[in-house]
Amino acid sequence: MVLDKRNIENHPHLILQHLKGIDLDTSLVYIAGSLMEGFGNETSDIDVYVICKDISTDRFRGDPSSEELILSTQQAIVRNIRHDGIRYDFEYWSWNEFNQMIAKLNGLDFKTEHYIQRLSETEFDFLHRLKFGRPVINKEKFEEIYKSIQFNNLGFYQIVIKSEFYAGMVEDVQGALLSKDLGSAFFMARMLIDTMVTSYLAAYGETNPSSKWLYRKIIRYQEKTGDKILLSKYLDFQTRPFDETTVERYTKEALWFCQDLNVQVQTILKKKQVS
Amino acid sequence: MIPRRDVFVQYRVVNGIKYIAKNYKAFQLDEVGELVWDSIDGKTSIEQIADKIAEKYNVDKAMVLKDIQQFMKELLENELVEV
Repeated sequence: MVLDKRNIENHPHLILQHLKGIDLDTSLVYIAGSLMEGFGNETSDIDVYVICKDISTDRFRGDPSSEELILSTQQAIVRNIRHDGIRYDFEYWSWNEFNQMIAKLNGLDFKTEHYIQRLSETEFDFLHRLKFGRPVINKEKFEEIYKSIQFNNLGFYQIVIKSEFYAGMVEDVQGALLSKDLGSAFFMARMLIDTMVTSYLAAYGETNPSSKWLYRKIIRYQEKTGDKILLSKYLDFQTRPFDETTVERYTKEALWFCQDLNVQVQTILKKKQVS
Repeated sequence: MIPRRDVFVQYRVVNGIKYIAKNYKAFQLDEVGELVWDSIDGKTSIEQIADKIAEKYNVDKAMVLKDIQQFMKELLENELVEV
């Protein structure tokens, strides 16, 4: 029988056999990542998150039948395992780190004239993955925690951060056009489109922070909303060739396209701020 | 007249208030200003924008149109729109 990795949570023993030495009663174990989000493919790793009391590396002695590698990051321990032809990434996080990240997300204040509190890229990625997490054990505890998390703050956070970046980039494009640095204007306009489309998708709950999944996010947005124009315009702008005779016009059209999306994004953000 | 936003104008909402900005100058939009700004898309005429606002607030269209023309003049003077 070939294992469908997307249903791995139905085979908890495949996960739990690698968690010897972990007190499962006091831990959360869940699967997340691109497979659970519906973006992954046959070659994708299975990303397993283990939230436990103690994450010191000497607790994770490997199974001699597995090929494995242990890496220690600032906040977590990552264990890459290859077993029976399947690649697993186990990430071990302490309850303390886990609870702090959730508190930070839930506590984000969008009604402010100042910069909002920052989440690190690692924290954002972790929280986004948790949104698609599926528990392997302690399902009730997982559901209880899951319901307490303001996942829609991820989208608003991404909008705010991208808006700051967008503002700076518009000035850069303006400078490049005024100084007739058309090549830079062309490349900047493409980056601007990626930034604005990412922000726009975040307003619709598409918060995967990895640019490699932009197409998949647009497709899911299209399925949710029925709007096919976004993809068609995005592809049009990102596939036009560089031509010095048309680049000025191209850049302006790209800026207008971004402006139109930004008007909608800022309106959604305003509703959140005044709610 | 069909106005279009200047290509370099920026638009941000901060603490529930919308601002437009260009060349380091920022302008705060009130509720009606926001409706007008959001409707300036290079396809909608100011008469159509006036219709929309008069209908929303149930007020006289001629009066709204006059106000929008004045607002548009200010936007043009500050190079925030083009026609």
